[in-house]
Amino acid sequence: MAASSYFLVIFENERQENRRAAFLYLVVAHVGAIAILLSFGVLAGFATKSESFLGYTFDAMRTAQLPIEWATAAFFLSFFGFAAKAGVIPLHVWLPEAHPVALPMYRH
Amino acid sequence: MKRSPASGWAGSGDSTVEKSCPGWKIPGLFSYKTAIENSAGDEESISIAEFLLRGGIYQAIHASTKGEAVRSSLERIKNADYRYRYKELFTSITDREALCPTSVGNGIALPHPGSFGKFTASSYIALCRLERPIPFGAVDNEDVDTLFFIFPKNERRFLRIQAKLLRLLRKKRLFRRLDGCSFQKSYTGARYCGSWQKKRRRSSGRLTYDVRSDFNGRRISSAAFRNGDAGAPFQEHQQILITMSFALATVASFLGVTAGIWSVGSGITNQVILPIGLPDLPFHLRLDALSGFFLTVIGLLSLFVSVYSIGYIKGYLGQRSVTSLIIFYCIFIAGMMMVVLADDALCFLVSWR
Repeated sequence: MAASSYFLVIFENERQENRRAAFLYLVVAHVGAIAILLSFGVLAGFATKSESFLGYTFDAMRTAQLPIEWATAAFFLSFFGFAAKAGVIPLHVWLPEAHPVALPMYRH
Repeated sequence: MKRSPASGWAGSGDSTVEKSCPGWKIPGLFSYKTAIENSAGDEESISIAEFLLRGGIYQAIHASTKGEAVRSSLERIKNADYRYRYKELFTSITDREALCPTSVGNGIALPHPGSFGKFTASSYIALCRLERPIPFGAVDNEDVDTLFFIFPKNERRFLRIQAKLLRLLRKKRLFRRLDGCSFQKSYTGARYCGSWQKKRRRSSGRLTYDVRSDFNGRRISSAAFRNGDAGAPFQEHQQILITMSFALATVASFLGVTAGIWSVGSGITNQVILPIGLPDLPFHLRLDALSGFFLTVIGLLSLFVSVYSIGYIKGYLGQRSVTSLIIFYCIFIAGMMMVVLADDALCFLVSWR
């Protein structure tokens, strides 16, 4: 999703501001993805099937029992990750750059 | 491109001209004495076409910024001119551009040096067309791909040339026909300039007819020209691609909406394990009421966007290839739907990315 919308933003790539906006968007999306991945790691570590990869299924994560500190960490990591992509206030820098240059109907 | 002895000045053994402009050859169409000797009275009678003949027309100049465009244009024009102080001229033109961009809209700009008379003894214009439009700080915010370099010998000349040019450029059709016309490469190009001027005077003689037959074959749309593509068959292909893929996307979105509404309505949770992904962690998909709700939202959105895109993307036909746009659009929609359907971290991250 992030990569393909990067290519949608740079569709009119002869303008420098389009390329800049798309790059900024890609950076933010990837930093966010790393945060989400980390929060998944925290959740999976406490999941019941954590010895195998099946700890990474959301089914296993739903039943995980987390101490309060790790639960807080997981919450903030995933909050940061999703907020970056959604353009929540402190992480919104990419939004005003990418939106005007994307084709009108793909502004999401 | 041979100098015709009949044109007079070359045949008369005018060695000063020969020395001052080596390699500068002109087909025998105009009064070259006026062009070379440039007394004020004579220049008054010269048309834009004649000014262009002196400067030349240059196609497909490679540039991505304003400075680059000016530099590479000047490099190309240098071949045609003889009183050139290249670096000074470049600085003068860029300084003038920095003062206020010389673009006049419709993708056209009229760059010129800030001070006149220093660089050239006789006025001339050079038409440079860029490979692709670049941002120029134009009044209409449109990118510029057509540069009329004006090298006037004095301010009066400059204003006059500018006025003439602006009047001519109102006629887009005439202007567009300059596509594919090159002064440097071919004699036809120069002859075409001649007909351009003659047409302006409403005398459509044999010359105009010649040019028509010469250029019919080469008169491709400027868009296809930029693409470097053959034109019609390519566009047809893309047309089919647009219709097919967006129709498919529409159908897929509709299915997504149906599935979403159904799962919210029935409250049934469906789980599927796909045989792709890592050996120990295949992709898990899960459609429950919550993801059904989001699937409905995404599906409705992409349904309408897909329908709208069929018409909207057609605007890009002939301007650029839309294949990449379509591919990434479809991946994008698929990614959005997979994100809400994912039931394990790997599947989620793959679709998230």
